[in-house]
Amino acid sequence: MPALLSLQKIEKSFGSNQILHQVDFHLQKGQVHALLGANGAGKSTLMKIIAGEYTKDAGTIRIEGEDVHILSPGHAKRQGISVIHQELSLVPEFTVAENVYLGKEPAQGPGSFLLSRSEAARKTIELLDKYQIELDPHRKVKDLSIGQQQVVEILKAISEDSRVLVMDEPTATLTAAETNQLFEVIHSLKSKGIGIIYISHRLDEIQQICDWVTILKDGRKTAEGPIAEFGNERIIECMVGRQMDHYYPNTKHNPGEVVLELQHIRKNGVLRNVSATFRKGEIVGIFGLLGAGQSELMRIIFGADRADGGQLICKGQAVQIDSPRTAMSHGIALVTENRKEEGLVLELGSDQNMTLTSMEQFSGYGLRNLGKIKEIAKEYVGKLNIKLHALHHPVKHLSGGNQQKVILGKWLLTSPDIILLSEPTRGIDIGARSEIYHLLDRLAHEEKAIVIASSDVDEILGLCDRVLIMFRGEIIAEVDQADASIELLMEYASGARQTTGVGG
Amino acid sequence: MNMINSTNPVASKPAVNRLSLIQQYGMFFILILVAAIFTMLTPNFLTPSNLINILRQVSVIGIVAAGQTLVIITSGIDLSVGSIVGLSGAVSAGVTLATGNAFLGIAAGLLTGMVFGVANGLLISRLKLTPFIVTLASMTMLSGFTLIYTGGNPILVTNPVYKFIGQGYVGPIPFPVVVLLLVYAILYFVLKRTVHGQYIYAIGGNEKASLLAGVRVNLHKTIVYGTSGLLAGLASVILTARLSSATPVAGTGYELDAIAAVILGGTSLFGGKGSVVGTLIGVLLLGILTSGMNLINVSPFYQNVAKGLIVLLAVIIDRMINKEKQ
Repeated sequence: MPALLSLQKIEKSFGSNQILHQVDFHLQKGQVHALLGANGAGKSTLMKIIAGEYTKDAGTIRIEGEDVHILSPGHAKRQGISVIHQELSLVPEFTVAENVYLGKEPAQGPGSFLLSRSEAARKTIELLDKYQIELDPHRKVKDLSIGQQQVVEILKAISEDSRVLVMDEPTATLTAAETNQLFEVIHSLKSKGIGIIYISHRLDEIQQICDWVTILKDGRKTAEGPIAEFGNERIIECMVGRQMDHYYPNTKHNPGEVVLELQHIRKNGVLRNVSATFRKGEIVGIFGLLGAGQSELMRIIFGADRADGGQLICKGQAVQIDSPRTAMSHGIALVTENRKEEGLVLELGSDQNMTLTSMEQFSGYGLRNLGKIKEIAKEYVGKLNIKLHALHHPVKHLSGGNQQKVILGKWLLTSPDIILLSEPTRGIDIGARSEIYHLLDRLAHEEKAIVIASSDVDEILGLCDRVLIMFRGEIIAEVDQADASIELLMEYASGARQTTGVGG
Repeated sequence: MNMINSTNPVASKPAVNRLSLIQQYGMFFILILVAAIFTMLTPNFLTPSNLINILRQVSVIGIVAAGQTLVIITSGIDLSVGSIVGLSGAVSAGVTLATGNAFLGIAAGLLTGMVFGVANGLLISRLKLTPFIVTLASMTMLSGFTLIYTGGNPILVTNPVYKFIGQGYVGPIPFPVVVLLLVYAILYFVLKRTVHGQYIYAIGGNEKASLLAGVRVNLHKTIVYGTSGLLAGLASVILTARLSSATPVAGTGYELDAIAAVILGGTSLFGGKGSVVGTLIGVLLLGILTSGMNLINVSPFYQNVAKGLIVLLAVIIDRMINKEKQ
């Protein structure tokens, strides 16, 4: 039986820069096929060729044995190929049914100008039944969770009889529960013979949901095979081309004096009686499922949100932090969760972004010292190994990893003692992740207090000296690195295990 | 079964409706409140003749605001409608005078409005220009055209057929009020029941998603701006007929009153939601304020202050209602 989608010897260049070299890729019916590679390996180019956004220079594409030329996104859709983008393209004010049938509304009357809402709802219900998905077709999309919205995107695609679904980091913004629900939907799609190309940086998920894996490096296929034959080490090796003994730094830290103490912090509906201490030269992880309150806690410490009660003690003094400015004056920095919305001014260059929070150092009498800004930006680009074309190039063109390094550079320029990070490696490829881990390790050795709020259990285990586990707005456990394990952390974080009296 | 949705699908529906009712009727409640206050302050307010008078007075702005509602739902804005009122009226009066045919004159007025509306729409959709800038430019340009066309002088209209549009009655109801209600009924239907109406909301709610779903965004946007221009032309004909003359400065500032009415009606400036029913309530609120303050002899200077305050207050209240929802 021919493959559902078969790409052979695909080549693609931009100018003199060859991105893809003779890449083969075969997707079978009912298969979930992971496509892996570091940023720049060519996987997004390959995806764009499949989706019709780019055209290949050479090679053949076959769908169920038939040669096809994919000319445009619309053309790809008609061939049965749909892409679920990371940024969802839904109309928030519309219902599920209205979104699923947007652009192809069932209509009646002369020239089909009259809407038939009941018909759209009926067809949506049919679709929901066929794939055994429980979702109210009359609910507005803005009232749905992100996970449910993603399901609507999938419904949109399969309502057009798509046979190939490309999912680009579908779980990046999902809670663990939502991820499991998405996986159930994926299983249902599989059983109906739909092929899924699954792109993700999260190795644990790939092991869980995918059947097959293809790995790219520098535009070439380096490995392919059933997922069972690939352990995490082998996947990383194929992606970066060398063994990664030091993916995590694994060095010993010597925690010093307490620099920050939280006493009974609470915020209605979000945080309940959170107490904790953080020391110099220590990396502390705050682990919890998305929505457990760890991001909110970071924002409150930084003064981006207000607490409803409790006390912060910074370097032995009780302090009132009512704004990010005050937090900065106490030597606190926060690397926010959303790089693009809260971390960067996307249209500005790396130099401008990095000096934004420490402008006082680079200006006098209200005038900016451009020479000094450039000089220091250059220094940090080197220090942090940021890959960019030019300092003044808008940061929106940088990869996620490099963007995150620019943000780190920005905060390091304020010479902070306490660095808070929320989901610091979300959507960042493995190579850049490892670099960021090593950087945080170095900072801990420089006596900074590092606090990482993350829902990625792997990085919490690999990086942190001590883990605080949050569940429903409370710190319910504290575990040392030596005692921590995935099972233990997940048990606490999901509320399956309870302790009392942690942290006072 | 995948338990994607934990709540009962049937039970969630009325809750949403009830909420939109509160929002819809929130402004209606303020309208009633303001009317009640004026009723207490002066016996001349709550009389059939005054109420009909209010309706007639708001008909011109009301029709302009109806078109503006569509534009704002697409997350656009049309600043040129005031100038279109000026120019369409002048052209309409001029053609009526030259041909002696009221119908030709009316058609010319409507056509002028539509042509410039479509021009706005084409510039905005095809060239991807910002609606604010495009319509700001055409607002300035069109008011210039009006002055050139009229030479700065009013054009008198004596044609009785033409004057009926602004001064006639259907039974006890002034003709402009009939037109007003008709316009709102048609637009209500278009937004609620037609595919075009659905796309107006879709474009305002998420233009990119609409484009990706195969919606002809450019076409529908152009139709929306064309409609706004056409309705400004219609309002202009009514205004000219009521005053029996087209003045070069007619329509000045109408765009702002229209936008205020739309916002009062609960349509979001960010697009994607809103209704013409809301706009009608907004228009009536502004009309009642003007009429009531005239009746109790508030100086026009203070009237502007009061109107501005009411708009602000209404929007604050609306925001509070919406916040509670979250």
